[in-house]
Amino acid sequence: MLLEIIITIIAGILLGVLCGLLPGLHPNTVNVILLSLSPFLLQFMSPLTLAVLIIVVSVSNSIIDSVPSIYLGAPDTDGNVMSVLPGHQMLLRGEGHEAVILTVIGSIFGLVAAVLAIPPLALILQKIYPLIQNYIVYVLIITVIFLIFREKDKVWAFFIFILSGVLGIATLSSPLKEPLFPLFSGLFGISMLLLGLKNKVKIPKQKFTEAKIKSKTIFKAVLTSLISGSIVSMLPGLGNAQAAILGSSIVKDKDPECFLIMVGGINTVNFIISFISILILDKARNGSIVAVSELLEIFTINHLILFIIVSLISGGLSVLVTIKLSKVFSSLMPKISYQKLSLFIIIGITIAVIILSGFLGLLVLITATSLGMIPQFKNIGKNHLMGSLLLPVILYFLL
Amino acid sequence: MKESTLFKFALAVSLIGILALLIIVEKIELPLNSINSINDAKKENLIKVKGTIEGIKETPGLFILNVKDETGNIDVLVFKENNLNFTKNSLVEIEGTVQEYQGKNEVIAKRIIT
Repeated sequence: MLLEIIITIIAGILLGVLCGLLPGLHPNTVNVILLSLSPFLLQFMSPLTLAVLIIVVSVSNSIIDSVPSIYLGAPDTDGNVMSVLPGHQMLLRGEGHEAVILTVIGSIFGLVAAVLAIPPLALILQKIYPLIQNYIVYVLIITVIFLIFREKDKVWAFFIFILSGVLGIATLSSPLKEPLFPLFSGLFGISMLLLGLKNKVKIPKQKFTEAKIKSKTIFKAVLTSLISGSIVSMLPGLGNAQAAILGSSIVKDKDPECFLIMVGGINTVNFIISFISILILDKARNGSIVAVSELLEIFTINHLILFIIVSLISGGLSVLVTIKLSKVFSSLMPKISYQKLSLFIIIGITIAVIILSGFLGLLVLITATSLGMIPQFKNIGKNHLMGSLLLPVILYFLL
Repeated sequence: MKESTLFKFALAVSLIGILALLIIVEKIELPLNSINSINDAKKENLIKVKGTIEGIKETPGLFILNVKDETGNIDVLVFKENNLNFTKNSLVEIEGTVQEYQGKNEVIAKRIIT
């Protein structure tokens, strides 16, 4: 049993590295593949081991993800929309490695903080959730209004929200397999890469400066990610990007260091909190948890403890892997053509979409890509593209 | 905070995790119950038994296996969800919940290892 779990953790981290480095290959896609292979896999492993594998892949991917999202400027999904901006700026100043280190500091401290905060968080979730349960739709609507009103160009922000919402409804109600894959790859992945092609980004030689980060900054950023991550985890349709916006309005700190740590923190905090919500609220808040609860007939407190321990181990190891990977990328990136690499990734994602979702998926990908480029031209936040999930969720509650 | 501090911290987190794993891993596996003890067990309890299949009854929706170990025998209900095949006198390990039926305890199987 112990050996089985340790081997699973190592295999999971390798898979996590693989899908972390292939932009567009989201852990949810990997989970779907693993689940569809489960009749075959369960001949060699117990459902519990397979569940452990899924958790390791998700945790390590969420940490390793900082490497492609900073060096390639191509966020995998909604989650890293926000880390691109300050991270990309640092990359263009030759401080890519430092940006990764900052994000990773957030991930590991966020992970540990969230694990330590489980008892109070569980209590708060149990007390607060029933109170807001009936008003969730209004909380969501107010959040959307708040997000739109903080933009200078409110009309376009609203327009983007509605357009992506309609696209989301059309995609989710279509008979597509894996509808989220072409939708998010288009909105957040390929659109960024295409704009990068147009802007002729040239990555300068990277310096390996030692980041000197004050403990106070780390503490502030991790605490913020714990608070905003917990709030967002109670609301369906909101993701890491919204948590990051909420977080930066709490700290009111435009310091890119603090922001990157927070973004890293939110990723892991949300994952740990999703364990609590499945145990206490019986609500699966992310794809990995959905997959795990499908595998295990009974979700007990012992499972929770095992999964938390596994998250800690794989989180710690992934940080070590990420530091190494970031160094490799730092020395490689200035040498290779960013344009060719982007083009290569765009073609890769397109082929993957055609294989997984067919030509209807390709149509969604093209539409989503076009829509995903508009915020950049209009100089508004890409978070409004999350309307593709938020609008269907809001309508589902209202109708 | 320096990069080397981060490295040490991450390493420490994974080592503490592995240590905790060593302690918890025994508790994750359900302990094996003797069949005799299940006859007095509380309803809805999660248990694990191991024994040989003494008898197989098949109905359209489920299998009823009579499983025997050194201490006694018990009926185990297995719902036909997947393609299942049982052979008499083979050894099985069953995880499931205890349920009372006509004054006798029986097991609703959740997981079967043949």
